[in-house]
Amino acid sequence: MPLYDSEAVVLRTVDFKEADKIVTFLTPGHGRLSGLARGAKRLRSRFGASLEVLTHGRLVYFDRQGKNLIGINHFDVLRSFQGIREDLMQSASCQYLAELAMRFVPEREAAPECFALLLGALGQMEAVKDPEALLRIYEIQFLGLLGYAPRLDACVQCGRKAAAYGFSSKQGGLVCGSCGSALKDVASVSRGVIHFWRKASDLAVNRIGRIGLDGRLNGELKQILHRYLLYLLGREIRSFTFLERLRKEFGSLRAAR
Amino acid sequence: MEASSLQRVIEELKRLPGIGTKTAQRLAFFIMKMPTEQALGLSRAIEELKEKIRFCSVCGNLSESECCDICSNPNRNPRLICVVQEAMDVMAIEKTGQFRGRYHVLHGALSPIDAIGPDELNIKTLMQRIQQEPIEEIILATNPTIEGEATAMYLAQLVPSRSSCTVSRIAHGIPVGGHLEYADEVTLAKAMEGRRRL
Repeated sequence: MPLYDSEAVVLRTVDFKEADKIVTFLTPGHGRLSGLARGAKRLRSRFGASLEVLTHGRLVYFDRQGKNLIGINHFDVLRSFQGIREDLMQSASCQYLAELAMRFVPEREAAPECFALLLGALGQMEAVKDPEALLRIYEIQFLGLLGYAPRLDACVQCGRKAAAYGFSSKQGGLVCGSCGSALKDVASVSRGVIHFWRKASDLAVNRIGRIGLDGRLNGELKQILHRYLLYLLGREIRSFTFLERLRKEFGSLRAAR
Repeated sequence: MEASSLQRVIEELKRLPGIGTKTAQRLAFFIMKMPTEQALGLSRAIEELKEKIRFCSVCGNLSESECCDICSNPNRNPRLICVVQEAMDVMAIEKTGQFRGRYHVLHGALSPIDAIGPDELNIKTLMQRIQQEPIEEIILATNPTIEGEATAMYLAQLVPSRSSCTVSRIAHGIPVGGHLEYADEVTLAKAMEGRRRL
């Protein structure tokens, strides 16, 4: 059976049987790949700590014909992002990015840009003070890579430019006042949000951690993006809910101090 | 056609984690061929387990009474609490015979992707304990996985806001009897970071 190798980032691990794990990776050449790591839970497993979520490494695997799961031969760590694991907010933020990749990137379809974006975001997460701006830029660019970039220069329905717009998840973009009045899912959207969205869409991956975002704008953008992602996915994004809860809880803890 | 009682056993065994149809059939046939006493012993043991075992109201460990043997033992140090993910971890630490404090079982770890948040874990009673008991140190012995680390970090931020007790984390590194050349980079880095003076 031939062995293949690929760069990969671990997105998720699930315990399987007594000592095995089912590991899901994001790879540039084959998108999402899931595989069985035999004995990975054992203390002296050959995988050691390499199969921890968010680890970037070189995956060597064999593909069994007719089987969904690849067989994981070994996984050599290239970068473990240890700093992220030691900060609760950063760790939860990156797990949110991993969940987006898990839910949206198709299995066994090349996704080199999605891979580069995730790796770029993980690499810059350790250095950012507040991960919120990075998360918003990631969401914007990720949607673009998947082909869901909304139309931001004119009304998506009538094609006319307007003084003010709303955002419709169902229509996938901005809608003017008259088109929006007939729709049910229109959220108001400020000029600042539209401007930031356009700017963030064109940002190089190695710069996504360097942009700041003020709290009010972040709140507005977060709501619109989250509603759009939920509409596209058709289910809850669990790590987003978790992240919001953490933010609220530790925000009030800090305020109490 | 398989007897319905045999089929029932197979169906029940299939509910167990890691047991598929083939294994369930093999186990069911093994039970059928067992001496009656042994088979009934197994069924009685399962019955007793479900009837008698519950969670200790103090620490969440498995117990046959309201309060588990460790919590009700006056010789255990009440100033030291070891926080673990599962009751099985208590058994593992108890086997070492080195820890004389008490435990607190969380029944899981924070996992954003599985929607396991603080409310799903046994954290509220831990917070009550640190306010009511004379605890001086909390040892966080959750697994060194991303979920276990997240749980430890969460508690490390939460506990100091409610009490003045010290919070510590179990050491990570090379297993005893292991070889450095076979250790992965992450474990080795952790071992170097957690080195101690001799």
